[in-house]
Amino acid sequence: MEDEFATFVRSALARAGTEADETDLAVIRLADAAYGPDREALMSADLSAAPVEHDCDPSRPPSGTGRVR
Amino acid sequence: MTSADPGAARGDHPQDLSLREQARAIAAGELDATELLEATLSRIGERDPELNSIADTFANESARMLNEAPEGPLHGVPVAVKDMFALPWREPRDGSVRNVTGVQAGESAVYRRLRDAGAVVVGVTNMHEHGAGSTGHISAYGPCGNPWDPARCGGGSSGGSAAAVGARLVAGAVGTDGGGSIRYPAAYCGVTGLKLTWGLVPCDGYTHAFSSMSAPGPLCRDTGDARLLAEALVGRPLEGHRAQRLRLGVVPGFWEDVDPEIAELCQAAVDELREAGMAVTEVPLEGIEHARIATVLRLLLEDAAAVPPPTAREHEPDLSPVGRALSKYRSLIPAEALVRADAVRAILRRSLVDAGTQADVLVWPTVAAPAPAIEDTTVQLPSGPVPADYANVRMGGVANLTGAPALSAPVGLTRAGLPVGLHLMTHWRDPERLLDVAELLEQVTDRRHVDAVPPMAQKTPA
Repeated sequence: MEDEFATFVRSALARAGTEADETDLAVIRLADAAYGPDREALMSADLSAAPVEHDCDPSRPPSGTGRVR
Repeated sequence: MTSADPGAARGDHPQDLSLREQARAIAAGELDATELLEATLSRIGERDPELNSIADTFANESARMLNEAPEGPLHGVPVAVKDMFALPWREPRDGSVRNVTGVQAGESAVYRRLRDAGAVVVGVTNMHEHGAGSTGHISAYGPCGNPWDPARCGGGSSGGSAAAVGARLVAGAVGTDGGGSIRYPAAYCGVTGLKLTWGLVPCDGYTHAFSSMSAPGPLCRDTGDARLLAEALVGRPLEGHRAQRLRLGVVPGFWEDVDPEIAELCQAAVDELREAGMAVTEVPLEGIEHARIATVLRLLLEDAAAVPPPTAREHEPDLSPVGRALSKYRSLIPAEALVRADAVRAILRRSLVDAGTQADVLVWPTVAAPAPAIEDTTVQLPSGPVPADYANVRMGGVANLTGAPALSAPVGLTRAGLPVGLHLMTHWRDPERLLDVAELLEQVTDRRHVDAVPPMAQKTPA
């Protein structure tokens, strides 16, 4: 019988129009074991003080911060 | 056996010369550019089978490029480019069977900049499949080895570019960096790798032109060569200045959970820079505890959004088993995670501006552990074993999230003979500062790290 994670992966991928074989499941399980806790920490972090940057341009500093030194 | 003797690799072969020595010798009429091209192709043929750093060569097209090369700072000098840039005679494949972003053969911006500088594209370098890894062991061309130990990873995703330079196949190569992909292989292979500021080089003809994270840059043996190749890529001089006037900021969070030998070698480099006159202080960066996952989320979801789902599914049989599974993993990520990742991005960008009030260049180890084995890419950290990608992206992602320039410079070898890199990052507008600090480091260490020669590059052909 499949565990909860495998059932979730298969049903979520089915909704996306694809499926998972055993190799997919094993790799996805490893990836989620590595990055899942970090993602959960991000999802539960208090980011309310994060600056708003609607116009993020990675080629330059955030607008309004000007040139430092 | 390793060597810090700069003369150890200086045989009669012109690829043992630096990029700028090659350029100078050609300009002075002391080196024939046609002979250099032929010697370069011969060396690739002799030395690369052990490494697999070069995915493709095209002698006729390179010769044609040489014949038509304008006078320029790289006139007649062979360079290699990562498999992400369109060439007039070759469609990039992204380390896969084919690229899925629709980039056709043609003149990419990187090609044009190299051509206009007089350079000759001599080969396309191996890379991690679709740029989605920091090890380079997964590629449609086969795994890319490390010149310091071919059984170990050359790094990713620009591993072929770093390994080819480290092995003295070419003196300069172009890579790209979306989550550390120039800097990790530079550290693994003991070369200098510079991720330029996002947007500084036009992105047409680049398979990841959609990315808000990725930027190209040079991989060379030392700072002087990196400066020369970077100038060709950005199309303007990157003037050098005295680095002693700059302030170095040690970011404490990135020195935690690092292999003790790496921490020791990087700390020694910081101490040498302090003794050379740089002011050194601790500078925290807010948001780094979420930098790893924010980087991964941005990369995964930008990749996913770049290719329509039917095209992605059609491409699945072409992918490695890991690549195929990870492409599916992307669709399991909740959308709100990306919004939160972008909040972290905003925090980090603002924090980098704030850090600029205390320091001009921020510093930490490029990677937390040396190059892993191709057969098992797990690395050992003080906290325990983790996948190399997981360890690496914590260190490199900040420069991609912020868009700021960053550089990895060699700072020595572990007792096992594997290279270690020091990571430098600075303000968006000042990539020159990174080159200035790395150049100072070369001076105060008598070039012993940049001139160290991997064992395979000391072999003379039978």
